Amino acid sequence: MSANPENLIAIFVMALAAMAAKGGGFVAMRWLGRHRFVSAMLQHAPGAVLASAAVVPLVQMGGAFIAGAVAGVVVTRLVGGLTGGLFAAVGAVALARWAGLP
Amino acid sequence: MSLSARVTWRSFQAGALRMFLPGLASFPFGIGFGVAAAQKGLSAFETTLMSVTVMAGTSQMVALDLWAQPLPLFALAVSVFAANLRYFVMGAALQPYLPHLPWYLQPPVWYVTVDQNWAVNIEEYRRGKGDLGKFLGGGFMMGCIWPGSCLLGHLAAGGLLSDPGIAKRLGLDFVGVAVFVVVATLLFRGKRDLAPWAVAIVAALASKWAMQGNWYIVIGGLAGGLYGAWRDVRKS
Repeated sequence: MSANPENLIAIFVMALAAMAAKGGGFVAMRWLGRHRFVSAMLQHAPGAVLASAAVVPLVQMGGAFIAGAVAGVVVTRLVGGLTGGLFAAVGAVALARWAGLP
Repeated sequence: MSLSARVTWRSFQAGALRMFLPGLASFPFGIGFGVAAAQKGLSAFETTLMSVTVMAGTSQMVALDLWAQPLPLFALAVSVFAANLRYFVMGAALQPYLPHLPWYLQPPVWYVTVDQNWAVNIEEYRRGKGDLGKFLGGGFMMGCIWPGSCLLGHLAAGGLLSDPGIAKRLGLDFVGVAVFVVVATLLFRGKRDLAPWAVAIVAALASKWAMQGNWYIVIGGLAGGLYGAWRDVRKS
């Protein structure tokens, strides 16, 4: 187990920066959340964040990822839970790769 | 609707268990980070400590790019903050469900606000279910899997585990995206979500085309949220 003091300071600074980003939105909403527009925005933000987070890798990777996403959506709609959809999505990607999709 | 800030062992445990599979999303990335950290000269202890304390893979990877002696502390802080700005939006969306959270529970909640844990729990919160214990338990699981995979990657640098082809063949590189797709499917409220999500998707693709990094999540999320709010407020 070895640790360089300069590296430890850098890691500490990084941890503080990460916590500032994570906690910043939470703290800011204590005041901003009272506004009607902001609370309406927060109703839409989770779905918009997830759609944004998913679409770029899907477009970039294509092929197997698209097959996985379709399987995930279909099984989630049919079964209604997280686990089934996840297994279907990951299994579809493995199958698609086995079938030669990139 | 606000949730109780009470944490029971049972809900903590349930939250941890259900996050095991989504948590695996970070496994291949953690292995990759561990290998990269070893190549940059970080020790196994430093790699694990960074993963435990920062617990945000993309920003850790960004930091490795800047990792050269003497370490540029200011640049590290700014780049880690910027790479984690999506958590700013996620934290903002989480706060209305926990408005009376005691001050001593706030830092743990911020700490465990990571992609998969946030996605799975916010979906429940919006349906008026879930509790803080599940959120913290899920975060605990993520906090075990992420540093554990980074340490494994560091120890196995150059060996079998560092071969990204194995994880790819098993489809494990898709687990992270799969969580977003599946949770988005669960969150989808029909016609009223179509336009804001379309705005988010277009904004995310445009920003990815225009700039490097993962700003597209922040920009897409804000664009979709702002459009949805503007439309709802105008209607009412």
